[in-house]
Amino acid sequence: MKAKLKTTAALLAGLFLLALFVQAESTELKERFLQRKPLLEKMKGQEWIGENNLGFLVFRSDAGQNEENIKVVNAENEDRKTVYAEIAVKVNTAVEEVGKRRAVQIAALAAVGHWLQDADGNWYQKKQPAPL
Amino acid sequence: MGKRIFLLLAAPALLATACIKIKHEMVIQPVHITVDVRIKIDRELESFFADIDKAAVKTETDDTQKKEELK
Repeated sequence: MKAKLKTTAALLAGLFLLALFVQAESTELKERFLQRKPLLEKMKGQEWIGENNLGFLVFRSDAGQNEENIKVVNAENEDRKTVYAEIAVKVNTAVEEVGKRRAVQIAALAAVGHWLQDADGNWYQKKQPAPL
Repeated sequence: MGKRIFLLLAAPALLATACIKIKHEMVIQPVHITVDVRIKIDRELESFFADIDKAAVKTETDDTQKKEELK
């Protein structure tokens, strides 16, 4: 009986620690996204990078491709991939599907002038919404 | 005799109707599943990126405010 209780307690403690670890990792990811945000917004404003239809950042040309910018874009894409993969496992779907849905959300939130790729693969610049 | 002919004609017709019904279910189900999955994905994405997306909006609003202040 005592052994059973001990096993259950150990299992619960393990689950608690795992939950804490996952929470900490998620917080770290969010912080990294927030830290990169200002530079990425600036690069989008310069038209150096755009958002593709799979929920990732891509350079639109050679412009702005210095070591630091490439590093930031790659890090952003890596972290996005991690988030998409986690959600894909949770919802039981493909990672690509999660990325596509994120691309739709990004397009809706994008600022005027930012480069976006539509579902057919065509690139366009977000325009000012028509006045009512 | 007339009843037998009627039954012989009616049986294939009923079978054909049953087949059509099965086909309908096969087409409708995946659409429901796809929509359901999309809703779940959107919910998860919004839950994770809400703070990050809000921060971006805040920055843009701040930029607009700063530009207005400069004018």
